[in-house]
Amino acid sequence: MTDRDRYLDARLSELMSDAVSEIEPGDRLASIRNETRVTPMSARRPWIYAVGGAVAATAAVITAVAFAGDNLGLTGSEPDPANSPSSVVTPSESDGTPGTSETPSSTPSASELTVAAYYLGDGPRGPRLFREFDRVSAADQLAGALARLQATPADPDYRTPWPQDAFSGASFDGDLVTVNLTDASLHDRPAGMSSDEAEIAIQQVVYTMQAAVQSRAAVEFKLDGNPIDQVLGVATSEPLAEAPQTDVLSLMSITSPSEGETVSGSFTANGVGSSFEANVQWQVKQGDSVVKSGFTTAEGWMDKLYPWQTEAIDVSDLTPGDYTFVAMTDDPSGGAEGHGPDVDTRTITVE
Amino acid sequence: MHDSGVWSADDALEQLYAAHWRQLVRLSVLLVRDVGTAEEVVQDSFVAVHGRWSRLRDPDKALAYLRQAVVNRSRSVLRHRAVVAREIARSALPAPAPGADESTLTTARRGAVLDAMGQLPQRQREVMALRYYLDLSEAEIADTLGISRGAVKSHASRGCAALRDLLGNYLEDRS
Repeated sequence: MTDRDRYLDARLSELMSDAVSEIEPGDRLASIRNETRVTPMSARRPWIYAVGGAVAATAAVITAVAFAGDNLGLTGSEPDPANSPSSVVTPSESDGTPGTSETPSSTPSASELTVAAYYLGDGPRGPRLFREFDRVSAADQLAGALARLQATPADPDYRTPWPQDAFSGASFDGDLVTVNLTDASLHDRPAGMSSDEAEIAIQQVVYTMQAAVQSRAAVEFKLDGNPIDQVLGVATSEPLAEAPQTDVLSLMSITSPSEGETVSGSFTANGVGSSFEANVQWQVKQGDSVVKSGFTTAEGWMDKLYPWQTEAIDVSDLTPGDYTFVAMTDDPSGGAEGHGPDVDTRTITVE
Repeated sequence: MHDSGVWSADDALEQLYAAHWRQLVRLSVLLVRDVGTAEEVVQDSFVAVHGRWSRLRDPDKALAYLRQAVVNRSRSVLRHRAVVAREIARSALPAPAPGADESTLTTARRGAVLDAMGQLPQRQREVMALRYYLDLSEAEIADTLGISRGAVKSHASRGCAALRDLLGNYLEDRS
């Protein structure tokens, strides 16, 4: 560096500091406090709390979670469930007895729906929720979502902790989603389930139900018509709000292709994620070897998950067969710090 | 050193606000020019850092996260605002003290610096603001922007060259 460079450097620093030196921003501390206050979600519903240790510490951010269609699993191709805000899908409503194990699909108006279901998978920071869009035969979105929560996910990397007959029904009154448990067997945390996993499992229900009703409605668990104090050992006496996305969702979730999808010529992948600098890396792998790779930019990052989409990925030069499509968050440290990337995968067949 | 068990998200927020609110708004002004927009950007960033507190728990990390949030949100604001040029034209500069020649000169100089920053490509502007306003090192800038140190170097050298052209007189003039 020459003296001249040093002089110009110093001068640029001066000029830049000087340029903003008299800007005295207004005091926003009160507004910030207001936005981060823990209790109220809205004046009408001051009783909503998030669950769990780490989650409770950041419950404040619930107030700042914006309604975001895509993050609620909106596919654009489905009827708007908000048109029927008071739908009741308790399968036993005909005889008025909660707790029967009749499946929702036996209701007379059952039809084929696509529902957004969240499942547990393993992320670099422990269990996280991944989203899958599943076809299901059900009376409506709530019934379909409830059925998927208790069914095996299409992606073998995912799991659901809810047994087949965990829930007897769910309803939505426009403000609150009520989920009815079949019996008290899920009151305590089962042996072998970590408390992290239990909390994520509760959030799995919250996120899936919210996607079904397309609203950030609170979710209440009930048994025999009464609120139940805990489910899987997680406190549920108050209706539950969703925990912040970045705390419970996998930071990378593939929407398309779906598991087992057959592609030919080329395909476009999309999903949601929150990756450093919004960089989303993708790969097509055959076994362990990467045969294609690239990156795309999501619409945002950091505070929540944002949609991303790849360019058309040309697979016409690949030998027909099974491949894995991989999407992952960018890890600028190259794994040197932190937990490594959040990854989601789909098995695809190239023909 | 703060005990993270005691230093809650609310306390952290307050201390970070007291120490960095003004500087971060000024940083954002260098990026987006408009003071009101900058206040919004930094306010949102504080809300975000509060939400992440359980994962940050460390004042240094929190400040790094805040800086990152401010730069990224400033960028998104610009991206989502097709009317940047108009914003620049009607942006709120510190009002000149009427009548005094020195003040008029000062106002013109400050406007010229902000104008020049506004003409740089986004990345160059970010690198220049972090380097010359916050005095961050190459490595810190690379971390904040999520780009390589090499990229920081090249943005910095192009940014410097551009600002030398745009601000020639002011760079020489030490008045």
